[in-house]
Amino acid sequence: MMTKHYIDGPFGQIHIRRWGDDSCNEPLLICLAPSPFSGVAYSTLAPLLASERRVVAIDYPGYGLSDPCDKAPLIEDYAKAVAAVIEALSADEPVDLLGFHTGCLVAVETSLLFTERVKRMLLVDVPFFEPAKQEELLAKTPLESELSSELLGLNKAWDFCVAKRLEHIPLPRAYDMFLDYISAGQASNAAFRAAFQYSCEAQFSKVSTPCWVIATSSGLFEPSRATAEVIQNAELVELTEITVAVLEKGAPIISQAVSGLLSN
Amino acid sequence: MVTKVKRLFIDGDYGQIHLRAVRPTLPTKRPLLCLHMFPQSGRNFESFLNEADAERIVVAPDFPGYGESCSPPEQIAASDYARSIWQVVDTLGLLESHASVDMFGVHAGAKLATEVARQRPRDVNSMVLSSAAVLYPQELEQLKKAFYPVALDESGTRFTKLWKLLIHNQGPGQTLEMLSNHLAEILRSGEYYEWGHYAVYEFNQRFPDVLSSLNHPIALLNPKDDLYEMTPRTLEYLNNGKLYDYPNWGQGFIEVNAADVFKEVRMRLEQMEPVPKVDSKADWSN
Repeated sequence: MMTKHYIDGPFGQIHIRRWGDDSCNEPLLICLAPSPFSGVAYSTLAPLLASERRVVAIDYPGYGLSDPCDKAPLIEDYAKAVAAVIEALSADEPVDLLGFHTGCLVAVETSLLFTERVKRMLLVDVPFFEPAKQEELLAKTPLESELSSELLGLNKAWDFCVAKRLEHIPLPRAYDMFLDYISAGQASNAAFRAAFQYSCEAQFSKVSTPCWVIATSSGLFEPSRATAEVIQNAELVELTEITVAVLEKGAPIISQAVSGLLSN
Repeated sequence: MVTKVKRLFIDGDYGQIHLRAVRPTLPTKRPLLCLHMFPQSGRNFESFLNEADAERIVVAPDFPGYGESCSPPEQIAASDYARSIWQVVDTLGLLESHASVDMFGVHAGAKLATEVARQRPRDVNSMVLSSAAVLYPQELEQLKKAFYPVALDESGTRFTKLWKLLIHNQGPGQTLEMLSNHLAEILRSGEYYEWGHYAVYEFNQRFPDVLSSLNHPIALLNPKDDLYEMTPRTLEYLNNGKLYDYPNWGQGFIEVNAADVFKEVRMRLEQMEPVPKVDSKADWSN
């Protein structure tokens, strides 16, 4: 069963979802969301992972039900929020981190900020782009999304999450993601912008935490392979059988792979 | 010192109940419960809560199935929604420091406030009810036609229809961002977002009798929204109530006029405070 909670963080309250048995001895697994979504992104995968461990999915500041930062957030700010969750939920034991897309960058930064508290990391489909590409993407991503009485901004979210969704994403799931997207309000691009400003190569090269980079057959396959080369101690795991909808259709495969890696 | 709005979850009959609360360190006035309209959530009161002073605890729960509160497994009645409010009161221990609570309800939340008071009359002091309209059968039928669940589909009929309805009813000062937030709150209720309305439609038949059974002081607020013409007729069922007209406030007034609304609600509550009994035998000669 999933339960929801708030934790006090550096920017106000942080909202989390929890799955799994509290008596479980495995390290807590903290799941970090892709942009522009909250921890609801993990509502498909987390229940599968929770059969063997306690799992928590975090809403970044400004997403889901978490209070926003008082400025345009950077990946470092999200990492500070994750650190607050680690402090609150696992004061004595190190945790494992699982990131997907933007969540990979947050996981890396959390491991740098809080090295002694992060035991292992799993990074799925890493958005590791060259600085020039990041600049280009940043320029295309406005600070505030547009709203109009003619549904302009909401239609964009509907197209992104529902009308033009990936294959194998059922309508109710797509609808949940649409709702999550519009709940972030006009600042829904904040996590994208934070990701596009992150110094990936410089930060990846500092990582000492044991790490698996999981690459699926997606547009981020090559960036993920490159990540595994930059992060020392990283092991590349190719899950090319996942070709679409990683957190939906791919959830059982990801769950099995993650469980296997963390049990070794 | 005024504390910031905090949100929390408590356990209720149908799973977690989500609420927003302002909890000053040393409240001197009785706690105030804020009950939202359907199909929205306690988020309606977020700006209002931010205006709260340090004198009282103010709590705005999400009814079961709304906002972030878990949904009941099947349609529930007005009495069940009201019981969830008592679970909030008891879990937060709001009656430990005060003998009773006050309530501020809006639209369906105002009607449910009367059911809350009916269930435990001694635990409620007074109520501020906004747009608590006694409806004629034909008016109820019109509402049923306006508020019915729209099935989820690939073309986005639900969100399009609801957005148009919000734009149509846009009150003075309501921004597109406010409406977008309202839309998100409605959609958050999922497939059963009209269960609350159904319960209140059914309760509407009993509403006049419930009102007549209550002796609590009631301030009936009448902002100029879609129930402006109907709300005054509620007065005839009140044993201890007064009507206050607010022609400059419309849809969304709690958010748009949060500071003024808080002051107004506070004033009405203070006006309804029981007059302290004076011991006529006391010796005042010294």
